Amino acid sequence: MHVPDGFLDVPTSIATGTMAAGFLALASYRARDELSMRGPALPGLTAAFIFAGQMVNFPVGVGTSGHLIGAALAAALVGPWIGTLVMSVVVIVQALVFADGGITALGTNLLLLAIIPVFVAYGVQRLVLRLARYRRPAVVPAAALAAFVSVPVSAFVFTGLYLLGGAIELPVGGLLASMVGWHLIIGIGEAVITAAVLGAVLAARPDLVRIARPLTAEESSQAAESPTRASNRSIVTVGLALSLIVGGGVSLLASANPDGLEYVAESLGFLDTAEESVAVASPLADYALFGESVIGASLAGVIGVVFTFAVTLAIAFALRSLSTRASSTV
Amino acid sequence: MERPSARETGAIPAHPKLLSLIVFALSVVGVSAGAWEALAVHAVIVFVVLGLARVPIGRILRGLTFALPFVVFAVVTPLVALGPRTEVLGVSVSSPAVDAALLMIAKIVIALLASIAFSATSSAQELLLAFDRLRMPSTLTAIVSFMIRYAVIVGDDVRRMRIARQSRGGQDHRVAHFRAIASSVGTLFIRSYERGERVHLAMLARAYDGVFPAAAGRSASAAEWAVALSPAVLALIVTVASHVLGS
Amino acid sequence: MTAAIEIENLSSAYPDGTHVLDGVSLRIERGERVALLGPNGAGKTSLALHLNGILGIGREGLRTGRVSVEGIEVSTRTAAEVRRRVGMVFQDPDDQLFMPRVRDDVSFGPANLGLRDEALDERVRDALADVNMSDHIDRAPHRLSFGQKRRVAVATVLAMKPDIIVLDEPSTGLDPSSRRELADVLESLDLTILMITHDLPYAAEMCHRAVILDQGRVVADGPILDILRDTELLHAHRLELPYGFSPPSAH
Repeated sequence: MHVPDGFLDVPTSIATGTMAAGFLALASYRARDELSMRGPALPGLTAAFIFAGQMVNFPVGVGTSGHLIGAALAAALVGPWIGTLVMSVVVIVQALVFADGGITALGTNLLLLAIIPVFVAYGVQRLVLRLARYRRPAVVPAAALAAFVSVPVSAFVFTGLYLLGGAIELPVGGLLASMVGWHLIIGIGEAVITAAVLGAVLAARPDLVRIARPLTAEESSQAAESPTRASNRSIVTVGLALSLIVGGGVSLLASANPDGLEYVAESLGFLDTAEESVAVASPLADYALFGESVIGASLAGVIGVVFTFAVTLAIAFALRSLSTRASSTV
Repeated sequence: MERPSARETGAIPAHPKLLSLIVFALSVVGVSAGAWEALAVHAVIVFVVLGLARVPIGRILRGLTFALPFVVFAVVTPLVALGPRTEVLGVSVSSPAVDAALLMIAKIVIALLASIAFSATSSAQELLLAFDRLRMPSTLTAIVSFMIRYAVIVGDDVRRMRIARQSRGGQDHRVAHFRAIASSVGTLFIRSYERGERVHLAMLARAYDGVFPAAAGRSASAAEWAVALSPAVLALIVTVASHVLGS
Repeated sequence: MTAAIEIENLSSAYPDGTHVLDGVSLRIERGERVALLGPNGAGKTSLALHLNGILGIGREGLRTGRVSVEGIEVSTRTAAEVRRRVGMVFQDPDDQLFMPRVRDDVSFGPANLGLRDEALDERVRDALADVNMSDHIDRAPHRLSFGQKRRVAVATVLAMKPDIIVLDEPSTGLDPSSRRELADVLESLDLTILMITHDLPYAAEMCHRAVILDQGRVVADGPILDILRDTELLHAHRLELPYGFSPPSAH
């Protein structure tokens, strides 16, 4: 799912480009100590690994194969900041060396494939590990859940970006349901692959798995002192159950098509056009709100920035409040 | 205007070409609905560049497959899009969406052709020099450099592991073999990581002190800038003109 | 006279306490060519990495004893100077050739030493000429044959004008003619050479002296032909000559 040029309009592309550049600058800044101590070779090799790993086909049943996307795996292996840099470099090389993904869409692709999934995955991993009181057997399930969540969240953000800067007006409900629904299935594949690969690394070289490193005696004893509230656990459980039900439901509709977006396009074609009435309710979907003027277009772009940023912030705050609640109940 | 030969196009340093690609793609994306003439000019420009650069047809076709899912998306969306309906071949579709879909497909294909022209005429090394010239943060350029250098080697590892699995009766399309594939990918990470550590040692052994040197590269002459930027400037003028004339 | 390499009672251990080097003492004079032999896991590579302070200094300084190179004691303070003087050719040339082109790779070291422009170019050209790889200056490393990669790896080190060159398994993976070409290159250099190898005939051809390291200890040190003729000694340390090879009797 590398967005090409021409799929989103200029203001949205510039907005996502600016945001992506900002995040990359932040990631480079936060990773600078590690980079200066351990050099740029390790992240470079990790990027080469993700790039090559994406080409390995995994059999996922019914005669189809899937492949790794890698953001959650990178987050687990090398942490959020280096992980963001690693995934970004993969996306940049794919766009510029292989023409896979547009040049004006580079910012969009960086947000959707590198920045957002790495951070969502890292957040989920930390949260689950905290809830599981940093027990080592929780590492692989945490990474799997994180991989599962990171894919539909990107699809959700993509839907938002499309509604702001997409060329064709579409019913919001239908687009969102198809995009997120299908990507829940892709998320399941990503979760299974991430879990299996991470499990293999953990078995051979647990010291190389960043997310498993805080599981030192010190931290686990600290965690043991803070009993976790049942409500937090139930939130996660309910969320997971819901996602699985939705994902399972959509999977019944799934064809053998390996590409999510293509499938979405097809499934949209089967949707009842009665859904139209639902969609009109969203003011953002209605481009005419701003007219065709340049001001209108840039306003849409600005809202695009605010929207994407709000999603990221909301996730960050949700994680923070959950985790502080978990730790403040000592 | 004197046209550059294919050889010259390939020899121009990548940074003017990269800048040119960005401006060109923005010009294509920025064309407003109905301005088909502008897109037609863009198409001519990109075909002329592809022709002059002698980009092989196979490479162009392979590159175009990246657009496929999105073209399918654009074809299907008029069925469900909003707006007044019209009949095409007996199917009810949204009429503004048909125009929008065609426009989208045209933009995607033209911009993708431009990206193919860039990637086909710029080697990975030239790209690194371009990053340097365009003031990309040096840490990021260094990571890209290592990734490009070692992607081939790690890719070879992938191939060797697949052959090793197959030699021992592994069948990669069978779900039962999922775990074997996963563990070979896990091994791939460990090997890559350990190689990363060794490369870092090799750098330290050659007096690396935290500053990754810029690869040696030459700057572009004024003439090269002019040649590289001419398609982009032309495209930009066409897009701006279509906005001015269209409003 | 100052020795090229002087190691006094060097011991080191992994963080878990396992000994890697256990009281190694070794003196190598300027211009000597010494083969460092021993079974896998004997500590040969570890010893080599102590010579230029990649191991044994700074935070991970789980080391006792002293290492001096050309009279300079290896420490955090002298690491930069020592790394210039000791050129390390790693086992896998793909680890050593990490830049996009041969030219960039050979200039990496001297550029880190502060050389620029014409002086830098000259170093690169000279180093590549020394290993007969001048024609490949603009190639990408993955386009070179294995033997060519190894020679470029030697050039990356020569470009730093070292006094000592340490090679880790230089003949591994080379076909016979590449092996010959590398030997010719190394013979032509007027440098102190320490060569880690399992390739005993190659060692016999290139070196005058051999040191056997086993379990972190120096267990033999002497003229290489004497050592290679001592079948029992070789056998005790998991070394053996290839079938049909016998060391020349005179030296």
